[in-house]
Amino acid sequence: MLRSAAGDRAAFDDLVTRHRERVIALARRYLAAHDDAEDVAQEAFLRLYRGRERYRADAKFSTFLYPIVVNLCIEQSRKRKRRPAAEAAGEEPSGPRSMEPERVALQRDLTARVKGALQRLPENQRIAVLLCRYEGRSYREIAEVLGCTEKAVEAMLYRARQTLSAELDLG
Amino acid sequence: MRCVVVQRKLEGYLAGTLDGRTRGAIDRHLDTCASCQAEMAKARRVWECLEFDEALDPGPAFNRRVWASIDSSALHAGGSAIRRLRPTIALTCATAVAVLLGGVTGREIGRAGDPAARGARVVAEWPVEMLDRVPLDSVGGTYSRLVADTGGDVR
Repeated sequence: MLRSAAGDRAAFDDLVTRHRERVIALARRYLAAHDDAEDVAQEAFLRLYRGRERYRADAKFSTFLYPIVVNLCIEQSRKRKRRPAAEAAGEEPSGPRSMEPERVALQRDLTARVKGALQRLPENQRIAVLLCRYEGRSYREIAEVLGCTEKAVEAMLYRARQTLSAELDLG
Repeated sequence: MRCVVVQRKLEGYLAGTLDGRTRGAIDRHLDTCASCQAEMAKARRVWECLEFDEALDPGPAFNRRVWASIDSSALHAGGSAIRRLRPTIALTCATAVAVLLGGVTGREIGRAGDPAARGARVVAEWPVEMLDRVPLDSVGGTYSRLVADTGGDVR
């Protein structure tokens, strides 16, 4: 990132290559839409490039990148209409392709329900869940991205767990 | 460790992001607390339900699109800067042309009672910001300052 700030385009290209999959995956989980996720990721890297001179060497790169991605996801989510969970799940298959057809169908159904339940979470709770579950971020890192305290993150994840458990009828 | 503290840290526990000490304290608490054991079981079920893979590498085409948008936005940013400076550029050019040609139109007035002391003041029909760019050889300073010094409208 420091080399990018000094004008090294190859260094920035390397950053994009290393992080694009995770950024798109995070955006897609948040938005439940593939095309929107790629647009968000593209815009995130554009903003990252524009802000490259503000990057400090003592800062973690993820702390610099994730707030950009998260804010764009929130913006995008507010712009477009919410899609039904079934439509979102139908965009691409998930689950291992070697499973039997009935199990694949069950898996898809569960995935659709989970995605729908995630979509209905409040924004901050959704982000906290995605960053914790899929990015393996600590409470402190999530708090930095969301601009809140660690205690607030703990509370968000706790409430999200209760909501998801009830919605998915997990007992 | 109290139940309310344990139950708020279960996601961190499952993600493996808690420090060893906190993790150990949670383990010891879970050994003896049925309520927190039930809550941990719930947290695990939710955690496992969230297991769906959205990672798909878009490949080098994505990088090309990123660079296209970066280069395109840099082009627009340059154009915007020129558009913002246009009025200032126009004003400066107009002033330079007028000074070179000596084509300032206006009327010259003197102040009653002491024209020599105050000097001849040329008042053009230009806006103040342009007048301020014309040096007042007789009294020095700028038009705005002259108005302030004389305490009145020199027109």
